[in-house]
Amino acid sequence: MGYTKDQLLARLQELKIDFTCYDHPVVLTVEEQDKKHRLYVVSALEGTKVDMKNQGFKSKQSCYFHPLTNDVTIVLSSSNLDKFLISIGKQPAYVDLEASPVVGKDNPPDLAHLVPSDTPISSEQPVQNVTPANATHQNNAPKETGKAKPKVQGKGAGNSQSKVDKPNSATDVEKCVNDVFDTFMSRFFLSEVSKKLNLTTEELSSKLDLDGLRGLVAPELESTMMILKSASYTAGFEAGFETMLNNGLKGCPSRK
Amino acid sequence: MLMSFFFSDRDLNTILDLYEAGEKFYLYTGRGPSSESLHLGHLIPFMFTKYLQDAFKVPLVIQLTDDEKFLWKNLTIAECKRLARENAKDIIACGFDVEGTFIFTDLNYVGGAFYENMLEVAKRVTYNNLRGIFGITPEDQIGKDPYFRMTHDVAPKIGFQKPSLIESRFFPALQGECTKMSASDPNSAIYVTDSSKQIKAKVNKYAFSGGQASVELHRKLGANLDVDVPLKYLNFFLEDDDELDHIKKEYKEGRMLTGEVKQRLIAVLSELVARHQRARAQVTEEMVDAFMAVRPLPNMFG
Repeated sequence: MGYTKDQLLARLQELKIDFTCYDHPVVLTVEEQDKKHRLYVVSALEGTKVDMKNQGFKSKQSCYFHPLTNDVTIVLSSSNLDKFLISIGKQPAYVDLEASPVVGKDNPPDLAHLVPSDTPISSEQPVQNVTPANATHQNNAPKETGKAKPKVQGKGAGNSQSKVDKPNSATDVEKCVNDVFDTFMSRFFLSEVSKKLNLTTEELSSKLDLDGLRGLVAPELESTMMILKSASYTAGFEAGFETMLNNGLKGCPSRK
Repeated sequence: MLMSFFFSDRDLNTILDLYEAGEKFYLYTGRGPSSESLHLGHLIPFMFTKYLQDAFKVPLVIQLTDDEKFLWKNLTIAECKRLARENAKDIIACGFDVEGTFIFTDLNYVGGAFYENMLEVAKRVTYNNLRGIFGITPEDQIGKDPYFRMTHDVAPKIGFQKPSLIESRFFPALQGECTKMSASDPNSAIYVTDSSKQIKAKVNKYAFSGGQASVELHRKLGANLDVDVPLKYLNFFLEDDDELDHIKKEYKEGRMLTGEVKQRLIAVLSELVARHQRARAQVTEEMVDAFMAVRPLPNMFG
């Protein structure tokens, strides 16, 4: 069930989180805010981990947020923000927005592991999506040759591979390559080989450069999987075409 | 891997800013399918485009100008159509995502709404514009950039966002920076049909080296990285940036020899070409039809 602004503000008071509250006319754009202060508009799907992407944020006394409505702004310190996030069972993570990691097929988005794997439970569609707007226009282009790997200062999700929840992730080859590699590596290779060599899986994995290995095998795996995907798609396309040609709409099962 | 190689761009920052603001864009590239034998120089723009498609998760349109080749080359229409489809197979083998990629040939596709767009553009380009963009006579060299400048100027007039452009400089032929890869000289380039034996022979024999004349001299002076072709190739094709940096350092300071650099390149290229050939072998006529079908792409933004 969705929450109202008043319920949220009441909850903050319950948790003894200090904040100041300002009513104001609806402000629609980040640009509008940004000309005056360095404000960060964060909107989150209820139940989604809020990813505060700014080191500078961490120590700030005054962070500004819209509490489920954009005609009110509340101001609280980042430590109070942490308090609130933990109270709803979410781990805050502070990362360096200034860094521009090269994102590509062999370098999955470095923050991906912070994204929760499960869908938000609320049945009501929230008004806004998770898009952390930022005032520092980070140039996320491949043009950057920086090999910068930002230091994530939150309690991360450990070593588990990113499980970015997308409706069509079954056809996502990059994700599939990572899943296969992780399954093969951690479930089979590391456990079986460490047994044979009388090591623990941790000892063995610390001796291996797993990311390097992933980099070596990923292009091959990716090429094979992409061809499988194209071949499967082609077969489906043909089948669909023939079905329509020969049987028309009657060829498709009815869902009713 | 590849950024040092790419030459220039127009308005790339505009598109990136729009993308960051949540706007969507798509990629466009193409080829004039004049021959069946593709070499690595042909593949590079497609490899880069695939990188962009994966990084941004955006759709891609690929145009094969079989009509243009018919007009300019001594080929029949049937042959042009055949070459276009054969080239499409190599393009598909590069690994484009079928859920977000549309390939078309002019002879198949031009007409309807597409032709109407062509007319809208053409109407806004005067003869003087053409002379300014393409040169005084039609025989003057026509590259791709003039077409983009034209579209760039016309697009706002028909209510569209100006296209942005990334342009790649010619990849050096094996023989060196001043030479160009040519279909007529099989030793000037590595072809996608080459065996690893052929690749080894070509690189060892023809790849222009920036190393010194003798081992002693090389250890003393190091290699000239500016003219060394194997290193330029590795710059693009070697995925491991750390290894690439290491090789550059060792080679420049004379500790690594030309032979070793060439050997590494041969390994990298052989693997790449073998992988391409494997993928290419799996591309069927039906797959080409699927990529070329005018079909919905509901998942084109990943």
